[in-house]
Amino acid sequence: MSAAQAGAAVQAGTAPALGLPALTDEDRARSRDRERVYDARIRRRPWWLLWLLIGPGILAMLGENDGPSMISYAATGAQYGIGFFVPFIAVTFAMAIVCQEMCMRVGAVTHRGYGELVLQRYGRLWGWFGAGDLLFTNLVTLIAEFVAIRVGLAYFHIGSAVAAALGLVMVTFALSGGRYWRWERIVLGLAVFNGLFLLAAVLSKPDWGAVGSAFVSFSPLPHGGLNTLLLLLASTIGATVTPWMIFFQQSASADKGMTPADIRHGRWDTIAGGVMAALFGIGALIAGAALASHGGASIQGLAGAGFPGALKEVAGGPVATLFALGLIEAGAVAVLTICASTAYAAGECVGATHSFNSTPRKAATFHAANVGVALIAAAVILIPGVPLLSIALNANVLATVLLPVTLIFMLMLANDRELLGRWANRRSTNVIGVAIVAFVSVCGAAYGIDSFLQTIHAIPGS
Amino acid sequence: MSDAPLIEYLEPDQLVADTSIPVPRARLGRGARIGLWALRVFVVAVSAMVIYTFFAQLR
Repeated sequence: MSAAQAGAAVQAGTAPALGLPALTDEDRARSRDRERVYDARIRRRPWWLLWLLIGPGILAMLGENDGPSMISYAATGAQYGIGFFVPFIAVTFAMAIVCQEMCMRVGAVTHRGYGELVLQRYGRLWGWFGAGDLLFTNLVTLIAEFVAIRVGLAYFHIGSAVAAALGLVMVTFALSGGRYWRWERIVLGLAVFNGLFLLAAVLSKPDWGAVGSAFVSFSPLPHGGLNTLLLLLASTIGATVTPWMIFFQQSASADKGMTPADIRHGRWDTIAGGVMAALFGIGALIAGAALASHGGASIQGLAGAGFPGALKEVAGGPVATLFALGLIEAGAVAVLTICASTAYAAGECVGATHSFNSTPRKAATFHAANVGVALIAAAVILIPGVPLLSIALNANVLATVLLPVTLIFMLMLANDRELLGRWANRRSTNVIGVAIVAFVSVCGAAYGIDSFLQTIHAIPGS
Repeated sequence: MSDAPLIEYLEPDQLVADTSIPVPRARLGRGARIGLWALRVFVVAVSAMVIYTFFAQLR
């Protein structure tokens, strides 16, 4: 049979000799995972079923509690205290839950990733734009993740080369085995340690009464002008809702083999991920707030490379050690999930096989993008004199101002009745979704415009 | 091993054979088309600002 005839047989969905649809290795691996889900359902084992179906939601949420985000939360706590930001982090993760639920639902119903659906439904321009935007921002974010690992390791007197090697070894190790299930469980096992930030917060002995009252009052508001507040809002949103999460969760839900029957569990997975991520992010904020009355205002973003060291002086060795270990974990999990989202997007846009269930030979683009993007980011942090801080901050600005594009297409897909049928958004979901997109768009655009106006000195710097 | 038992656990539209067939292009109304053009303008404008900001900060 020629390649063209074989392709035609696959297109027709039948293997002539057997009279069965032609199965690929990817199908076979996925069907073994689905067999266990089916078995758990008919044997009525709800907890086992939940265990089998969790993954993409928790990984997207905890992956976004990445190194730069945790340093940003801690720096915000050190500079402004916990007042406004404890409840605001909770609100932004609630927004993330709404967005991620839509991606999960679209992935489970269509069995296709975000990138390929945008490309096929709305044209090559938007498909390639989304993938290009994702590739650029992911690459720069990955550089920041390697920096975060380096910051964590530096506390234990370990150098940059080990940080670069550690990230690359983990990406390669998680990829080996050629199974989505194995990759997902390895990353989930690592992601659990994001809870170290919460432990660090508890050991820093915060005023729990103040934390409770901040939840109710959203105050005190951070000092500074409107520009400062706007930048803080946008950077907190940018640390919670990002394009890579949307690409990742939809593609991972499809790769995992989720179906409409699993949507209820997918929602629990997304909510659990959002709640954990909010708690751990608030943990980092509270731990950082220990520095608020000890010169914390001088520590900003990734410039706070000495964060664990500074914490040691104020909150003690255990808190600093937990924070440093948390940074290594946060960076590592984000490296794995962001590389995965890049690989999914690359495979989807060029129309190549894009699954962890495929071998490197059959999914060369997917595996090459997964390892390649990590390799480039790791190499960059080893170059002396690269303006890492400027790159990371501007990537964050660009990711935030372009986020509305990703969210708008996500809303359009979630409303596409031709694709989703009865699983399309309800009116109430749309009201909340449109409000979120409008809020993020205004904050993101204001953030970008504000940075620009400050650069051309049209307004004073904040 | 025969594929017959395995295929029972997958939905027909979940097979690689099915997902490799592109979905048709969406039919967009006038409002949606205008909205997407507005989005293009937004993207070009803010991207230009951010890229300028980046290079200005590098100097």
